[in-house]
Order: sequence, then structure tokens, then C-alpha cells
Amino acid sequence: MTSGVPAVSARSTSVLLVEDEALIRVLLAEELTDAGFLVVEAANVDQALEQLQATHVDLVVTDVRMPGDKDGLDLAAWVHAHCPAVPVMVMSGYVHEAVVAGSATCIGFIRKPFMPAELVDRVRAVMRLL
Amino acid sequence: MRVLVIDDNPDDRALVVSQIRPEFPDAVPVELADMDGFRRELAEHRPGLVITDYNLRWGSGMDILDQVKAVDPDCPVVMFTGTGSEEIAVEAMKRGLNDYVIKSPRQLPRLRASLRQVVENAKRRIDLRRAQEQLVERERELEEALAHKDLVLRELHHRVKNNLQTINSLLWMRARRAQNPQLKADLNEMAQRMLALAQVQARILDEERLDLVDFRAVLDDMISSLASVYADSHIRIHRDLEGELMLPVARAMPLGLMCYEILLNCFKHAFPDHQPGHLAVRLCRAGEHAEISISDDGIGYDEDTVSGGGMGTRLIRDLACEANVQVERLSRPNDGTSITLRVLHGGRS
Repeated sequence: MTSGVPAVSARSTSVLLVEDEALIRVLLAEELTDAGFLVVEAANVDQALEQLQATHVDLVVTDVRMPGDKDGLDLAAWVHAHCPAVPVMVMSGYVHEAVVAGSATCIGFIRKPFMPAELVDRVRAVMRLL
Repeated sequence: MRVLVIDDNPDDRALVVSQIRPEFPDAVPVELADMDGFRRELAEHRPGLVITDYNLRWGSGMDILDQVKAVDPDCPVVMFTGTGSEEIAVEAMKRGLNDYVIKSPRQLPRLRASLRQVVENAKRRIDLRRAQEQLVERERELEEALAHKDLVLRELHHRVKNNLQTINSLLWMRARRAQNPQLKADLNEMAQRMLALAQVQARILDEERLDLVDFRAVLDDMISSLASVYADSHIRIHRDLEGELMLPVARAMPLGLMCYEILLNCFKHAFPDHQPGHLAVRLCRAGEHAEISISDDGIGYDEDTVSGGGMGTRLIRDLACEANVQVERLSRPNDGTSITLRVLHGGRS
């Protein structure tokens, strides 16, 4: 299963996880926590913006389609404009959104559905790149 | 049908009316001899036919023509005149006049024939236009219905994918909390199978046509997922997915499950105790067929000792039948396993 030993460098890394589906959010948060990341959760873009202003975040992982006026790509654009040092990774089941996500505002795309372990791999890979 | 007869001369009007009656027994002839009367009539009623002289004391047949056509371009207008000329006739025809008949007793049969003809033509024109309008409307309705069907189908596929993903998450969540290692492993496997199906379902939504799946993409997703799940193994994966393979959903689902089972077997059993090794997955075209080969250099097994009645073997056999796939298996102890799936008539995009 998922590699058991969390990377030492991951211990202090804080990930903002934005996903409207509670079940998936809880599951991914548990998986990331087990892998040694500090996880902050948000169920929509507004909550994510609040978290970004209140807490230090090293990486944002966001779904694209969520209820409310703003979607994950709006969030990515906001982060790019206001916290350019914070990378954004996008999760989506729609290929065309991958194209949009491939723009300068996003560092990575993970196609839904995926195994929780895949997200951990990708997050680790992104953090190694930085 | 109101038939306007416009002429200064009461005798000429009577003459025209006498020609209308036999042709159109139900017609209501309306004799008009001044502009006010004509305008009032036009404002209050839609004419079915207009017969006008060219030279009027209070205007010209050309004005009458223009005003009638402005109100109803389909209303036939016939000019019945003794004072016109060829130039006037040509000019009037250009402006929409339907026929031009010279006013003389010898021309009366011609007038009757003309009236009959222009009314029939107008009716035909109107019917044709109505039919065309109905056709356009019907086409629009059909397009709408088709778009709606497409939307519903897309939504349905989306829901199925989400539900599979939810089942996957629930199983995964339960597996995380399981104390019993066997239960944990079984639940994890079930979660992964659900994910494999969800991945096929997700690829359906990528296509414009909702009945085909890009199986190369499915295979790619599947390998990535398994590689992440078994990230602590020392298996080097080689993907060579050059061949195209577009499959109907009914074949993609069982083939997806087959590939998943074979890949899972390799990750689970081919390299015990974290032994290093290689897994190669290849998709290529072989004429009108496609071939997927999954091979490893792991521990292999003795084919003679593997019973054909095991659940995995049976599952693969039944799925192969459903997906219309021929399976070739080659395995020897300590010499790896190679499985080739020949996808018969597997389509290109």
C-alpha cells in the first residue's frame, strides 16, 4: 500500500485541500496526514480564501467544480496573484479543465478518479520540485 | 376570399366581377373606385386577390400594387388594363405583379385563366413556405431533443462515475480502519477494482460520442493508479502504449476489469518480498485487431499446476468472452509471466 514512512521534509509542509465532497475530502486529508503533511481543509472557494488569509499554506490542492460563484480555477488565479510562491495543484475529472489548469497559475493536474496514494505521490513530487 | 376590383369605370368593374363568379363561387367581390375606399378596405380586410386597372383618376395601378404587396406579399395582383404598355408591364412584374391582361372582350377567357392561375400559384407558394417552416421547426425540435438526450446521458455517466468513486472512497476508508490485515487487503483490492471501473467510466465522458472509450487512456490511468498504490515495490514499469484502441463501452468495461486483474496479480505476486523487477505493458495494432501485452520478469508459475477452475482464471475467461478478447498466457517458474490479450476488431478512432 502507500509507503509507510513519511518523508521527513513533508512534516512541516502545509497543504490546503479544497474539495466539496466530504467523503473524498476526509479520505484525502487522512491520507495526506498519514504521509506527514499538515492538512487544512476547505469545502469551497470562499472557505479556502479564508484559510489562505488566516493560515500559512505551502501548497493548495483544489477540485475544480464546486458549488458557489467561484471554482477551483478562480482560486488558482487568486493564489497566483496574491501568493505567487504558493503552488496550486488541480484535481478534476474533465480533460479540458486540465488544459486550462496547464496555464501559468497551476503547477500540476491530477485526473479524477484517482487513488488517494496517487495524490500523495504527486504532492511529494511537487514539493520536491520547489 | 375578398376580391378587390379596382377600376374607375363601373361597367368594366361589372365585367371583371362577372368573370370572378364562375371561377370562385365563394368569393366576395369588392368594387373600389377611390383611394379612401381602397385604403379603408386594405386596413380592415386581408384581400385574397386584387384586379386593378393601370390608369386611375385618383392614382395608378402601380400604387395599388405597391400598397397591396406591402400589406401582403402573397396576395396575387393582376393588372387588367387597356392603357398600359410593355414597359409598364415589365416594371410592374418587377415590383411583384402576378399577371398582366389587356382589357378587351376577346381577352376575357384569358383573364379568367389568369385569375385561376395566380390564386393557385399563391396558394402553392404559401403551402410550400408553411411546409418549409414546419420542416425547420421540426428540425429544431429534433436537435433540441437530441441535445437534451445527450445531456441526460452525460449526466447519467457522470453520476455512475461519482457513485463508483463514492463506493471506492467508502471501501478505502473502511480498509484504513480495518485491524485484520487480510480484511484490510481485501477491502483495498475491492476499492481499487471500483476505481478501475470509475476510470473507464470517466474516459467515456472524454469522448464526443458517449458510447466509445479510448482504452489506451484507460490503460494509462490504471497503470498510474496501481504504481502509486504499490509505490513501495521495486518494480520498474515500461509503458509502450502507441497503438490506438477505441472500444464500445460494453467491451471496455470487461476488458478494463481483465487488465486490472492481470496488472494487480503482477504487482501482488510476481515479485515477492519486494524483489526488484520489470513490468512491461504494451498496446499495439495487429491489422484490424489490437494487442495488449502485459509481461513481467517475476517468479512466474507452473502452468500445469495452476488449476483452471480458480476464481481468477474463471473470471478472466468469462470477461474475455464478454469483451471478445483472445487470451494467450505464457508463464514458467522463475521465468516471468507474459499475457497477451488480442482484442478482436478493436477499433481505431
